[in-house]
Amino acid sequence: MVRNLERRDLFKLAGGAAVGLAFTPAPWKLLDDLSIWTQNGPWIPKPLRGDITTRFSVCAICPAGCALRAQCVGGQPFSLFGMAEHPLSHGTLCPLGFTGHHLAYHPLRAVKPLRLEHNDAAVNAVPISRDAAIAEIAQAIQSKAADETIAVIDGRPGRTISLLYRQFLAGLPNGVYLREPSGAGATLDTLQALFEKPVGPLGLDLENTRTLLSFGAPILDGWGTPGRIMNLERNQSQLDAGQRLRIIQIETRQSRTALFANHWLPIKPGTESALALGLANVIVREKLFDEPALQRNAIDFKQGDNRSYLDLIGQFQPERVAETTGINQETIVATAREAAQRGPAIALGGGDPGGGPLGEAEEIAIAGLNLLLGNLGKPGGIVGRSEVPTPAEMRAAAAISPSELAAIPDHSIRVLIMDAAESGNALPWTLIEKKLVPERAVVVSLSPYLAGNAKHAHYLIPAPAHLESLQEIPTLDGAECSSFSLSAPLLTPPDGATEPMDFVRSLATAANISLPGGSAADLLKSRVAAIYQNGQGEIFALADKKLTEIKEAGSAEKLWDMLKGGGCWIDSKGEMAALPRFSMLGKSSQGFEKLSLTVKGRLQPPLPGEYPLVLMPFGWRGAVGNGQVSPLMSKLYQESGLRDIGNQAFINPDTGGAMGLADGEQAVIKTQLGSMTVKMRFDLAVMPGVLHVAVGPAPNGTESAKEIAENILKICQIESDSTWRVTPAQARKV
Amino acid sequence: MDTEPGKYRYGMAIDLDRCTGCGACMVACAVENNVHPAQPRATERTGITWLRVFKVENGEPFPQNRAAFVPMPCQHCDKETPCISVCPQNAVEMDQQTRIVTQVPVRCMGCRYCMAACPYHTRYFNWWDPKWPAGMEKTLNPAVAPRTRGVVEKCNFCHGRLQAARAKAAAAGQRELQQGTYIPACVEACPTSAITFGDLADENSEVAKLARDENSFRFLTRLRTEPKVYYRSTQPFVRQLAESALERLKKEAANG
Amino acid sequence: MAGALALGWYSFPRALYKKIDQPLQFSHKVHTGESAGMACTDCHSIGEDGRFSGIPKLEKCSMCHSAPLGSTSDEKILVEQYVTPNREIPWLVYSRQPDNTYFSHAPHVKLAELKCEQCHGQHGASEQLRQLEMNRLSGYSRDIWGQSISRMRTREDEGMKMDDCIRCHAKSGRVDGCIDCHK
Repeated sequence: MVRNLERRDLFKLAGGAAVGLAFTPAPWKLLDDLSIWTQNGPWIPKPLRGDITTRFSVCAICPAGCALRAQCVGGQPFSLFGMAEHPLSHGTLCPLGFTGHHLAYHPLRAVKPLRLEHNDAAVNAVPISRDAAIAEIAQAIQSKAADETIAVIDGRPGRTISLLYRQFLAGLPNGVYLREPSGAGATLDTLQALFEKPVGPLGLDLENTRTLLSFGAPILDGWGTPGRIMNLERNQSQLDAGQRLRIIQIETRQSRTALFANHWLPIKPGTESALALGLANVIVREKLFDEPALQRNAIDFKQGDNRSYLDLIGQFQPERVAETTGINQETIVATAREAAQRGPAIALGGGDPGGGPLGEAEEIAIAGLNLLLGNLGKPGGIVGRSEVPTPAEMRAAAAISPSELAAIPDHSIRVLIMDAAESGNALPWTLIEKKLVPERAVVVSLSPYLAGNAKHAHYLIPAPAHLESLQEIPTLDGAECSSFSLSAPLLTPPDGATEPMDFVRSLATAANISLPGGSAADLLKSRVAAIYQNGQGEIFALADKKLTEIKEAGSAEKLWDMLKGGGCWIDSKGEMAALPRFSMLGKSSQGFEKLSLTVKGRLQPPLPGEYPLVLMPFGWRGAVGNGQVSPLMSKLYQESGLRDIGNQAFINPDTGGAMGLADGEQAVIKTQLGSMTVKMRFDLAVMPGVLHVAVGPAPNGTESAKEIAENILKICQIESDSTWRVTPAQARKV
Repeated sequence: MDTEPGKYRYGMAIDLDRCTGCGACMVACAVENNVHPAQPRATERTGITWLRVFKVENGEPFPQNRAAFVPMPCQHCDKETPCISVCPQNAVEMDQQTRIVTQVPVRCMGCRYCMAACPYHTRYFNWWDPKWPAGMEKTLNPAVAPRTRGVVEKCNFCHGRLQAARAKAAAAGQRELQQGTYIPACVEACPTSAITFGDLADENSEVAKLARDENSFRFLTRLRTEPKVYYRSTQPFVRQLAESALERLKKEAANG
Repeated sequence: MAGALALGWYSFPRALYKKIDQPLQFSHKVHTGESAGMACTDCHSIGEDGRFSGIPKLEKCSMCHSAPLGSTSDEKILVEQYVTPNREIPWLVYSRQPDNTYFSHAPHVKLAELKCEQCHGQHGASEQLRQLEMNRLSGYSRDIWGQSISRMRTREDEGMKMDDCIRCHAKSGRVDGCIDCHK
């Protein structure tokens, strides 16, 4: 019986179906499925699935080399923590270490060689084959003029590749091997240079010191191996008050160390040397030192035609020093007495990661203080440590010694190679730039990131990123014992990454220089073999989690395996042979004059009218150089305001108000070198008249290479001693 | 909505004299719990930090100005928990066995009532879909589920680690968790051992002893939320802050 | 109406679920039977850290099957396509749950002493692997919701949704917290 279908029938069917459907499980099932789908949609990243394993390595983000325990899923690390039993790092990892496994995926990471073309303010990155790049660089080397140099900047001297660089440079006419001037190394190296004859590597026996006069060193904020300091602090509770370490932080800025030190001396900017010599003045005047020993050993203590050390510090009476530094006399005298009388004391310089090194005069003054305090070769003082054995085939590298960037002539470098490894400290491009031959210089960066100084390079031959390749961790500057560890890779590098050792070898071949053969691993193995053959020291193996004699390893191969598995080699404390004589004013004939001038501080008041403020850059270790921090980390710190992100400026509220600035607003800082926009923050802890500006990291961490602003170091004045700590500046509203 | 006392009362004691404000706890927490690096436009109010370390100052001028650092995770309020009482979805509950205030982002519908209710401002909203730089999603912790946009998340005292500790104990045939087997990431990460974690119901535990310390205090006790995170400081200016809101105003004004 | 109901009853699951074959046929019965004589825990075990091994990795199969042990075509595929090139077999997991759920075998097997069959049915005695019926919308197996679309279960081991777990927990008097099972 067919009848015509009307619209009404359709509606009835649809309505009936809809109602009927509600009585079936279908819609409820679909709703459930849909909700599951929305919760697990493709827009939500999914963690990897796989076996969970634990692997061990050593962090190589900075030279400290803290031991790592990595939880991995299917071999991919997803969680990094420290290793409590490890004798060097004692289970501590710094915030950078916790996110080390992110660095291989950093947005600024370069995965293949690039030629960088610079037009105006932008950098255009063009892929280039490794061989083509090396050929062009070799060509630049070969076409250098007679007075031009080829230089390598090594952020971590002491590694096997450092020896390879030196051998490469020794084979060139006018090769220059440069180190970054910073950290505990600066104080100890300056001390070394004062002796008539070399004294062998030095270290700081902080574990037994009673007083630490820290001239701006970030002792409690990432200095040295953070775990060493934490361990030291933990052990303090077991000592009587009189025996505990007292840290006296001498620093303009209220850094973390200044905040948590036992005593903070907020000196006026650039007056470290005045205070050091002022303290020396009190110690000498009150005869709190071993005078006969100094008479015997110091060449220029008393002798020198009115230009002796005594004559020098005679100018630094407490009243005068109080005026220069802003620290009152009573405090200066009390501090000097405490350092000299309370037990072993160490004076430490080195500067801080963002503000850079202190300067030669400051370090000589500090070294002189150490000599006056008589701590050399004594427990709790500056002690000797052994040399880490070097394989025979690398000894030729000694042919070329390291130079300081400060010491080489301006406009002399034709080809500059910037090694991948970071010291963790800032190195302003302006400092490097002035050493380059204008127009003709060719700069090569081996950094894994297209950021920081690498942006100024002409070639980027990226090295593998953190945890992607085997790294060597030699003894850290300031350590009391020699040590050696290996950072085993946990990830696979991309094909386009180049091991710096392979780069230098290819370049040597292209430039017809011979270097010892073998891969990076081979050279490291021969170094480990040399350590084993030397037979000294102890090893820490993960398996037993304790230290055993090196002979227990059984063979060089077994030692190699132990080191690759997260162990380390530590030597016992070194002996210090009888000390040669030393000069307290430094070897330069101008030492007396230069040091005398420091009684007024680096910035002679009054400051130029147009620039009434003092700009002092600062930053936290590992976040101020080329090396990047994980975007997660920089964002966390920005959101919480816990750490200062690049181009944030801090000013005293009274000073800020007087300048017409507003808290939290943008401001323009101007110096004689240019101007820069920053975010101004009012901070009661800042000394009036001073502007502290954070050097890094980038606020978001996910900016592209084009977006990252230059950091404040661009407008900081570089002094003749290559320091950039203080710059006259002005600040005004945008 | 009080339930009867559970077997365990997990809580924390944070020694502010030891905290150096390094932020390792904040970073380790974010890594453990798959917190994503927020969008460039995220601010201190819209970003996500399950554990946030605040800087507090004594308000004195230079050079007497002093600061301290206060890590603030969810305080796991034990009594009349504000966020539990307002949630229309039962997306947050007081876990009966451990008395951890557990946030279940899967149930959340994103009304953010709990964020308004929380007096400590330790709840965070996913304003955007989580996005990791290319390849970085491989570093996600499989023990914690990533969240979508539109849900609230907060510290759960590292539930992934609690689950792993329970599984390990069960594999060994144990019904109870041994002391020290369950440690949140922030506790493990702290280089100065400033954070202590454990069972407050156990009188002899480290955390219970620290909670009873004469210099220990909690924040906003006048609200009677009975938070299970105790703080300890010998510095008077820090203790005085306990009864007022943390000075977020300055930061909010600064970062917008 | 009856016709519509019958049509829906038949076609809805067919539309919703997609049948996928396992990459390889595998007989539990053969492996637990007389010739091989393996126990469940030989391949599916709980580690010291409490983690369940799940479906065993290729190396467990390779231990015996480095060369074909039987004469079936699946044996040949196993050796040629997986064991020799050392390629993991992409088994389809019937009990796969979303990322935001957490389930640990350890307390169920070691503490509650449940038998495998209680949740996984007769799978351990199966002669061949059935197809995975994948829900086109959610991506998960039909085993999770259960065979019956209306959730009127006929077998105790049917369904692995939250309610199924809670039902058993309630019977044994266990107090549940969200955090016990959600990540």
